[in-house]
Amino acid sequence: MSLLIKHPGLFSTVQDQGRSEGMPQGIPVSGAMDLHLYRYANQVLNNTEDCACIEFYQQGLKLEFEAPTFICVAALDAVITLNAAQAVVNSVLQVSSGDVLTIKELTRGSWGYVAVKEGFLSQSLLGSRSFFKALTRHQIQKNDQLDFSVFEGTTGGDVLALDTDYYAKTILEVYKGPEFHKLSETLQYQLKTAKFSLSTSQNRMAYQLQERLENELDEIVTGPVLPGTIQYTPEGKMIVLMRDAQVTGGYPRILQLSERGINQLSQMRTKTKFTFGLTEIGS
Amino acid sequence: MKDKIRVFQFNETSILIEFDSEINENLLQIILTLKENIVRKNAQHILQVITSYNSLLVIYKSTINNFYTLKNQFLELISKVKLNQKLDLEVRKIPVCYEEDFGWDLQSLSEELELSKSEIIRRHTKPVYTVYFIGFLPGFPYLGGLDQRLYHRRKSQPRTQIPAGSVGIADKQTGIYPSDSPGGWQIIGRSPVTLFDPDHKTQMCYLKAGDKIQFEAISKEKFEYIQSRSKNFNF
Repeated sequence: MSLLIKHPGLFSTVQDQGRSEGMPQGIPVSGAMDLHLYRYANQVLNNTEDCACIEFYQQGLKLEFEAPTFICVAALDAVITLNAAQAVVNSVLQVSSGDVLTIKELTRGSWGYVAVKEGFLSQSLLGSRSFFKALTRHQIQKNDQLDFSVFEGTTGGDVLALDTDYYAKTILEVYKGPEFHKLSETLQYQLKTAKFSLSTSQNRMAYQLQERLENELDEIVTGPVLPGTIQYTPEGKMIVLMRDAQVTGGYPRILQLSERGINQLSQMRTKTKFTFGLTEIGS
Repeated sequence: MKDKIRVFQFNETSILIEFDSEINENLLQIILTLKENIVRKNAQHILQVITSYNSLLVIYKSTINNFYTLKNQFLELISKVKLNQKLDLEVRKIPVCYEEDFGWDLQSLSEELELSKSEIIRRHTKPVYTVYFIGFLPGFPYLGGLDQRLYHRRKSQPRTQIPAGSVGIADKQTGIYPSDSPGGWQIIGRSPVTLFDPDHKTQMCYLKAGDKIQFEAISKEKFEYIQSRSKNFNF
């Protein structure tokens, strides 16, 4: 049975933990922008970690269920309704055939997840259902149908509290990128101490920072990059690669966000100020 | 060679191995052999290995807590790399139509390089190119071996849409766009071959690192014939 998209919202897609199999063919990893919140949504429903969710951005999603199941809408905070009544985020919600879920807006954070018991069943390619334009459908459209398995059990899962402290800090954990050592001491110091903020340029491929640093580095021989890699462009812009980023790049890689750092940053809104907390790993 | 190697922890789960040496086919063979050896030794722990011109990124399934052990293991594997006897690799022919409808920048390139169009085509179809790695877009091959006389900077204004199959030149590189994409490369022709097909069951991507290719000039009629006959790789 399936779910009908009455209103697709902004940049809504199906996401799971992403795919690594296609990386040598130039296929991005993809996967939920905030994997921490995505995993939480599945935990609430006692799902396995790989159950695909609908990911939405900020506002305006409306879904009609055509079969009974349990769902969880995971968000830092949001206004949602089930039929006409206000409903609670980060809880187990029972839905019946004909029920309409509306996500009015996220009041905190940027990305939210609708999880369903046992996950959505969109096409799986290279081990993942995550949408990516060159592989699968691009975004969820109005009147699309998404399949899920009917679930007629009596309980959907156990609500556990979302750890919102995870997102409260404005220090993002980073490691030195491969080209960090090529920066002058002044610039290294700036990166460790200055406040940065997010620009309006934010999508699943990359978030751009507002501030510019005086450019010091030439382009590098094209090399591997990952979600969380912070590139430094010839104009001195800093680009944080996110989940749909390409697998190689030619800009110097000055910093690398930790997994937690990526999840935190993904939820920040334009103009949010933060600092980088440089942590040593390995070499 | 050891002092020219950097082993660097990239994030919680991955390690970058970077060679500070000239990019050439010998290095490519070392990198591809090393990838095989690393995967063979640690198959159950490794999620993926990505390679590029001068580096490998080894991605583990879980957090790395023995970086120095792994670093030493990599250095040892590097010191023991034995290159296989060079096999006579099959050269894959990639048909390209260089006619006006597709070779959008051939005329301006001809003027700026002071080479006739047919000379550009001759020089572009002559070399056997090596696929160094796939990146930028799904299925996009980074090719080595372009004739130096054809080196040319990118267009100052990138185009918003370049059709799939377009063959271009940018700086010291030539390449083929596997899908429609914005881009700043100088477009000199188009190939009817599908380089990347997500619906292809066994081989989504036509080329892989280490492959050898050569371009072959075809007429517009042949282009249309090949395109109509098959979406797949059997041309």
